[in-house]
Amino acid sequence: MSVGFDLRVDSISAIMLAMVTGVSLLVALFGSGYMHGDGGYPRFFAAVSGFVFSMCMLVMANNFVLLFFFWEMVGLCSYLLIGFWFHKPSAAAASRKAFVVNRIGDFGLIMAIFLILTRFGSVSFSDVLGNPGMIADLAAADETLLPLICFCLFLGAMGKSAQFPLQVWLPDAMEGPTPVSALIHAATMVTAGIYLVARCTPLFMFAPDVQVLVSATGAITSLIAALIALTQTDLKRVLAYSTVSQLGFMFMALGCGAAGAEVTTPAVTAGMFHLFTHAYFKALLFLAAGSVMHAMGDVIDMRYFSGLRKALPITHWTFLVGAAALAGVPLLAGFWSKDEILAVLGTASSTGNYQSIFRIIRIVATVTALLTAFYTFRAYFMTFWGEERFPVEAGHHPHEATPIMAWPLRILAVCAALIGLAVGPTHQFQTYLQRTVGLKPYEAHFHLDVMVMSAVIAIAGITLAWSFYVVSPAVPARIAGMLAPFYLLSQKKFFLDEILYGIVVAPLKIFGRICVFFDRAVIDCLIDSLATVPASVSGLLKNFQGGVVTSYAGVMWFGAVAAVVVALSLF
Amino acid sequence: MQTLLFLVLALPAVTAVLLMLFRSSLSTGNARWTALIGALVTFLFSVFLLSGYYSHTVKADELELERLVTTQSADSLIRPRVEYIRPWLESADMQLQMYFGLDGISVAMIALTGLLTVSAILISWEAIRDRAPEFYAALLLLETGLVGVFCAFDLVLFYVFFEMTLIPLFFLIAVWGGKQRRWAAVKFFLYTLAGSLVTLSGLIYLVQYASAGGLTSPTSLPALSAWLSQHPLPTELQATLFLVVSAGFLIKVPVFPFHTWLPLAHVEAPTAGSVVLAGVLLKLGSYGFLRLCLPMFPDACLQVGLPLIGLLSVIGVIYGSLCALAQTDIKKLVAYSSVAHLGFCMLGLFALNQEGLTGSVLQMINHGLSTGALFIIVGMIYERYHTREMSDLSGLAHALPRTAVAMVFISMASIGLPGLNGFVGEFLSLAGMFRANPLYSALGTTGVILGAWYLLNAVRLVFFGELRVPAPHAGDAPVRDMNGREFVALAPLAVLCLWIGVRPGPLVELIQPDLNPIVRSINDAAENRSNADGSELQADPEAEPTVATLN
Repeated sequence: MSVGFDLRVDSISAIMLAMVTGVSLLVALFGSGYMHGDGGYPRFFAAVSGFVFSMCMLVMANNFVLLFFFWEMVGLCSYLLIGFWFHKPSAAAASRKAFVVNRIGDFGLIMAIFLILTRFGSVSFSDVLGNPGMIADLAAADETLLPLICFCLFLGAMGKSAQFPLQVWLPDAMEGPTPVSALIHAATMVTAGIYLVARCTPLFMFAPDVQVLVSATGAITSLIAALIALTQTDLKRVLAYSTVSQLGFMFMALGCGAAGAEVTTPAVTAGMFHLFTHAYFKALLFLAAGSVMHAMGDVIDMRYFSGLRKALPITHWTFLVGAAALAGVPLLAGFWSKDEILAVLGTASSTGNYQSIFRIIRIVATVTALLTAFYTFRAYFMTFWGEERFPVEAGHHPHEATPIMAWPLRILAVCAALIGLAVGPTHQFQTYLQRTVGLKPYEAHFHLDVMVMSAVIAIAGITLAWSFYVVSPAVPARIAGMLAPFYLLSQKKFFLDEILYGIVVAPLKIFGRICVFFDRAVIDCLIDSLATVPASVSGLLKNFQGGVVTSYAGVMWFGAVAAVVVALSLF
Repeated sequence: MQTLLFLVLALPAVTAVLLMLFRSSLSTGNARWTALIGALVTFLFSVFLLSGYYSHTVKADELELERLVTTQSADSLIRPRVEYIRPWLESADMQLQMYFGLDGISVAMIALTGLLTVSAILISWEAIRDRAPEFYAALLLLETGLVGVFCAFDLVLFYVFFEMTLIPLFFLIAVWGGKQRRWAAVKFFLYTLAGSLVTLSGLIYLVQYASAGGLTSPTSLPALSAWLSQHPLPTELQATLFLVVSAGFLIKVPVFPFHTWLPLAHVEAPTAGSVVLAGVLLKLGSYGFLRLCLPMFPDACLQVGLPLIGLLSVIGVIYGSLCALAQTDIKKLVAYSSVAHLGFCMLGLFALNQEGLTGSVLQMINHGLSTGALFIIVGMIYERYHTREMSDLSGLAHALPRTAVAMVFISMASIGLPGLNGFVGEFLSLAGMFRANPLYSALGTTGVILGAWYLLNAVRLVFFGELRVPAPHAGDAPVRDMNGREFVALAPLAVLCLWIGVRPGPLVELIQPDLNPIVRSINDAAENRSNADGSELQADPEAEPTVATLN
């Protein structure tokens, strides 16, 4: 086995690199203002720089082991940054949770690497992914091999990209400083799973069942996360669930390759394109939320403030651009990439072997798109519209973002507005990405029907949110009262944390206790009682030489009688 | 080189004797300085030894290598590159030799021993005030015993040093330990002694067998392994002897279910004792497997070792992790984590292929570094707050920021974060096991998840959150963060964790030449077996040693 420190950049890596470094720069600038005066300022930037380095290396790695190496390094930086304010018990718990849940995914990735290493004899991307003939031979020789490898790879992706049921760590990760949420837990690190699956497309092509699983998991995740986001009152948590939901969209797209070889490249393109646009508008939304938090004296619960559009004008309009892009308002970034996903889902539900499943997934995607528009603008209206209210912590005059924080917001807003238009309809993104190993050029079409539909959905969601939270603010409470059980279910996050605790964490803890008890009561007891054997044997023998003459005489008498009996019976 | 080796072997013992001779006239301060100087010089020599060995063998060309090993048969599976042989006891049909030697594995382990002894002395500086000369004498005597095991290439010598390590550690635990120290010391001593007596009986049988077969120096490891590779033992006998000889090593490692002495001994031992116990002494078990069982009984390793000890190791990984998860005493937690980590080591060993063996030896060294450092940190906490209960402590990162950084760093090394040493060993061990038995490997890998859980949980409970510590005892000095002495004890371990994690290449180069013959002989055994009865291949014959270059 030979593992080198090989780097290689192709189209998909270059796209990731451009996105990662661009967003990092803006977030770091914002962070220098946001974290100003914090005692851990150097520690913050050390960890952020470590993260950017590791993330860049992750997307440039040319073999699976090196990828795993930096996969873990970004996880470490995420751990350190979530737990940045380690004096808060919630932050300390969240950081540990993130690391351990990610480790479950890493287990899959390690297994995938072992399988690839033993069957392909190499872990290098060039030998494994760049060798379609060999993949085909191996797939033909053992038809469970590639589905198994792909499943393990996907398990790794599920951990890092927070897919159901491993999504539980991401909302908690919002305990970290907001720039970290924007950079690591929205724009870059969490997309590493998408990158991994997209990168391994040549393998996934031979495992259509796993591709369907990828799509289905994405669909389930995105729907659940969107439903939870509907009722959250913590602005950052709404955005966190929206991230989970959007990552689900990307996986939905990636899995469409199951419909046939000719759908594979459009599927990957759609997923990667959404990854690309999402990075800008989600980083923007998080930074704007950070700016709100900064102004509100670290209060982020939307129940404690409203009507901020006059007090925080820059934050307001940049957040609005981000929200519109996320909701899929026509011509903004999210519109183009979401369109591509819906279009490729449409293709998959009309061709190939899995049409019925993809039809369901497509409906889920459409519903989720509507929910997305609604909850995004719910958050927007709750924060920036209505009567002007500030929490006590904010003082009387909340201060707008300082220039060092405002400029990154402005730049990101421009990106969120225009980047989709610049590279989407012009096919720049698509032609560039197609040069990646394993992808084939394809003819792109405009899907006017899909565009119209998604535009309608976005407008509908926004209008609904407007009518609920601006026009008649009493309605949401009434609906919540009517649908109380469902409201509770959504607000309590479907009790997923509790369920996970109940079926995984608690049993393991109890099992641990049992092990300790078993250790003491069974194994150790057995050993100790074994150790008493020599003592008890010697105790028995000791009685024969107690030094008491009468007992010696008694033994002698018995011996003599026994000797006589034996002698008599023999002769 | 031979002189250096002797110095490394004898210096600690000489220092120990000096300490004992002048124990009544030595103050605590003088005793610890004497011990520190002795240990430092020993460590320095062991580094010279390592660098000398590296430049003479790893960097030497083939010709020179052949010249170095002229005394050994080409069939030998154990080929020390540095030798010192003197006749010792000679009779008509048997020769006993003073056979000291060095190969890559032993030179690495000797350097580790030297380093950990220095750290152990530094960390006892303030903690040990009672009978200090005797304490340091015992610690140094332990070092000599450990170095002796690693450089003995004669069975009798090996066994003598192997048992010699028990006595100083017995006293370290029984005299300077915690509340239950007597019981812990007696249990540790008797349990491991009982195991190694079984091993001894197996070795005596083996020596008699070889002697009867015409081997004139049956206790010389190279000669014995060469003879056995030409005259393989019958299958049944090999399996029996393998199990008998394994007994002592299984307890020493310790492999589940023979581990119960370990948590007790660790909890009761003084910090220095725990550091050396976890860092080096446990490795005598895995080293014994590597040195004796694998070369002598290749067939039995395949037939019995891989399925049986592999299974026990897998159980050990999961069971040890779960036990660690349920602990409230942080030292006990680290002790159980040792059971889990040694499980990885044994998984690699009984993968019986190149990757597995390399990973296993790396894991021996890595575990010594990271767990040694963990015990040092736990000792530092105990010295400051007189408790090891995690529920009594919280938020120590506020009071001891430097210690907290060290703890997070070492924890990451211990849970196998890439870029630090634990990853290389675990990854190679598990990768090796994956070739041999994918199921064991997959089950073992779940230990990686559990490992992160229990260790990060401990970090969270003890170091994060609001600061909360027990009320200080009357007359305690105010609590200070890590001081210079403690830094010097920890820093080299941390630096090595990072170095091995980033560049394992040189270490792999150092140990691999000594593993290749063993792998080859096991592959031969597998091939013979499949030729003989046409059964399924147990080991992959294509796993012809290729040079592993992890960069």
